[in-house]
Amino acid sequence: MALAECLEPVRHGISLRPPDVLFVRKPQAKVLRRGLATIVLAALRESDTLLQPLLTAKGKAEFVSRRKKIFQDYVNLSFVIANSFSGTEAEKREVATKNAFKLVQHIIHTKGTPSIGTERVRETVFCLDTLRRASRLVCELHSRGAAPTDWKDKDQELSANFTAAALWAQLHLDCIRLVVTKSKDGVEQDVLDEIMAGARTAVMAYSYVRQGLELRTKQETYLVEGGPLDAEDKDLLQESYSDYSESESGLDAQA
Amino acid sequence: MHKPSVPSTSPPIVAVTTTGPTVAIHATNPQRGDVYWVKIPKKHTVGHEQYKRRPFLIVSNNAIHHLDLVIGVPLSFQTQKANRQYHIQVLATDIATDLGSTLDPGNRIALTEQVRCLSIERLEPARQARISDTAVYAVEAGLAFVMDIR
Repeated sequence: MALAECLEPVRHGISLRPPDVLFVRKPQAKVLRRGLATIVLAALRESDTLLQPLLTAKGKAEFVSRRKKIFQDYVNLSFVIANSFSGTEAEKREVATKNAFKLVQHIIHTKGTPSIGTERVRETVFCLDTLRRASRLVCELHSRGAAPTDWKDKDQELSANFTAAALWAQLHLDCIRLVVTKSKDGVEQDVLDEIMAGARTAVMAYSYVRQGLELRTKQETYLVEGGPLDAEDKDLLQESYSDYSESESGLDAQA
Repeated sequence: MHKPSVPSTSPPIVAVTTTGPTVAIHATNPQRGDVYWVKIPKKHTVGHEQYKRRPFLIVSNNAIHHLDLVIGVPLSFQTQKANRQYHIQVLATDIATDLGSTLDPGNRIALTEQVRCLSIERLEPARQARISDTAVYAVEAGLAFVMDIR
């Protein structure tokens, strides 16, 4: 619900301008030419400044209210970063994104436990890994070109949903990174719970981009019908059937 | 030791004649995204493997189902198991139950770490529900993590 509320004023813009790259961090900005790198670094600094007040919120209600206020600006900054990167070669973008995920994952892994606890570190690693997979699928999706005309509306809807979910997850993952690296006093528990719930949207980002990819591949015919089974196939199949009966016999014998 | 023969690739309908009419005893055409009841006896499991009669979400590619095998993920009723890491929440609104389904309404948690290969003989005949594409791909995100698919 909170996501829907925050997205209401920007949803239309998002659907028309899906970013090529999400989740870029400072070291990756350096792969850009000087002018672009300066823009991206400034945007990243601004983005961190924008998120800082969220971490000092006294309770979930205040966090939600502050998030609603800053979300539009966060989206705009993300588009600035994404658009700056879209001028570079695809390979460079892919490497930058991959390294950004690696870097943040490393930070959370090595420094996260004291401030957010082991369980939340695991959850964050899962969300980062899932968002990374989603961004890889975006590259694959781009390489396959436009969706078939019949699916254009569905494709646009998925694209808007993906962008919204990915930005939402990214905002909360950025919050976690700031909690781990910059927050001296830590954050309230219910605020942390809300941040973790937001980061979880990475799962939906994966789902939407995967559906988008499916629209482009469902026409392909592959493995529709396997050929005749050879001796090895039959043996493997036989084993998978007999596993249960053998384990049952073994257990019966033990009993 | 008795080993069952390899099944043919023809439609997997097994029927038994009792005193009543002919009854199909397992699923006939499971598809990715379908939910079936599956009973795994406790004696077939060790350690933390799941057992008992549970709804399973079919996640395998339909292209392998001619082998009479499917790959499924158990759905837990215990939503307090949390929508965390590779435990993926499937909302009630993403579950379209079939007519006559015995599946209780409500949210479910897909336990993706418990993914397993199932002979279709293990699936009870009546499909219980169909899960939306959005939820199936969300479960796939959990599976990708569990299996460390890059």
